[in-house]
Amino acid sequence: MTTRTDEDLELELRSLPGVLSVSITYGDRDDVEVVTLLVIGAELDSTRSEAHLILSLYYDDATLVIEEANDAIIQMSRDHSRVAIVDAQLDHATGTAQVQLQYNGRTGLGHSASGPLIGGADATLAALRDLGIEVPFSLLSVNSVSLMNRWPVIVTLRSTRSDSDRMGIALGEGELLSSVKSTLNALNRFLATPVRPA
Amino acid sequence: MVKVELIEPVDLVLHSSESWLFRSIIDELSRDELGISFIYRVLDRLGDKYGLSDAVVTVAQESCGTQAFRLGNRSLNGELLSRIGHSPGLYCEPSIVPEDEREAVRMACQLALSTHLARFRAERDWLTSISNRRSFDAALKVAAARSARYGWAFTLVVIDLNEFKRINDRAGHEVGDDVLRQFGLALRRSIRSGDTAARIGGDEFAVILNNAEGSEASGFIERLRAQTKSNQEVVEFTTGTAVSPRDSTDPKELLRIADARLYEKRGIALT
Repeated sequence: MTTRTDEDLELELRSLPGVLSVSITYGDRDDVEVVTLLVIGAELDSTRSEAHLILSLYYDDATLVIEEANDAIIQMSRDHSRVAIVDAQLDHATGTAQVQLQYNGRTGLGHSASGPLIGGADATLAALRDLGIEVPFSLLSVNSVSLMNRWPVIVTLRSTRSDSDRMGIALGEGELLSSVKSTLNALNRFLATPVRPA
Repeated sequence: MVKVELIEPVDLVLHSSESWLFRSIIDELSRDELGISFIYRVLDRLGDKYGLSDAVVTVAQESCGTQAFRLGNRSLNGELLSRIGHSPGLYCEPSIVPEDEREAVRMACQLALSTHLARFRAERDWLTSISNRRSFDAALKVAAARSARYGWAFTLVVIDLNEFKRINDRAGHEVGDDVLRQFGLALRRSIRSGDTAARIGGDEFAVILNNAEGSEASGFIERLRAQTKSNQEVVEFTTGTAVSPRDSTDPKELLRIADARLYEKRGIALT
């Protein structure tokens, strides 16, 4: 049972540099037995001694456990959770775009016979869904615009749950890649949230 | 009750499907209890609702940085963190919570953490984390009222650091702040559970020793001296005490008496 005192203990520990998570384990008599901290990117020794001191102010007998999630793990998590473009091809004869994406070590494939622009965006959404990611957006528009002698692509997606639109803009090698990148750009914030594929 | 203002306003958009969340927030706010335990209760509720085996909500808070809370107050490890990342959001196992509800839960948890932090800061001194003047005044008022009504005794101890200005002038404000921080910690280690320690001015501190009629004060002062001796910068201090109801049951009068006794000691020490 978390008391107001324990809440304050947890808040004080969470205020220490690098502390990302605090877990309090209670004993049989509802006394605080173990406090576990997950710490990242901090001066561990200083955080450890401060945490010990704070814990002793509240509970002298409790054990402090500090787990370190170093930056390498965080970087790995970032890399793994990022959707990467593996391949984007256009069959000029049929106008079919084929997009291959990777996420968390898995590969997803999407096709669309609507040319490099619309087809690129459509195939990207299909590839994301093939990865098992629920994408609650539909394609609203794809436009290639002139910008300083270049032709970036703007993709607009509409949420299937509300009227909100998301826009992305990107410039890649060719219309197809620009369209794929722009679609992912539009979904950037959505994909950055810690949602795992179903 | 201390009134708090939110430090970081949160745009809270709740849909009818999350009305349980809205009702919970209002309920906790009205009882001045919106805080970290609310986050765990929300995760529990969500876990029950969707039959989740695991859930982690991650919120970003300016002064605490990113903070993650796991269903059942279970500990989070690097391996799990590497799978879910640490962007703000809600991770669920299985991933069946609708996006709108996930976002609403994240915002509610952000609100709870911000509110708790605001309440904590409203009650505590920013440098030492002991009570600030405002909450000390409130605690003294309550103790004095109980003492007047039921005759419950308590001792008020006021403490002044000696030569603190010289430390600040000689070593700089950073060292001075550190001295105050260390002294605050020494106070927290010296009081008993249920006592109140506060920083009531620049280098002035005060302690309410509940159920203490004077003799306990000397024990407390001995413990404090022993604690401060282990500090990096050893500081001397002078104390003055007043006992309620013997001296008075009026908070202002008790403070005046304790202050007068402190200055009297200082005067003797100076001559």
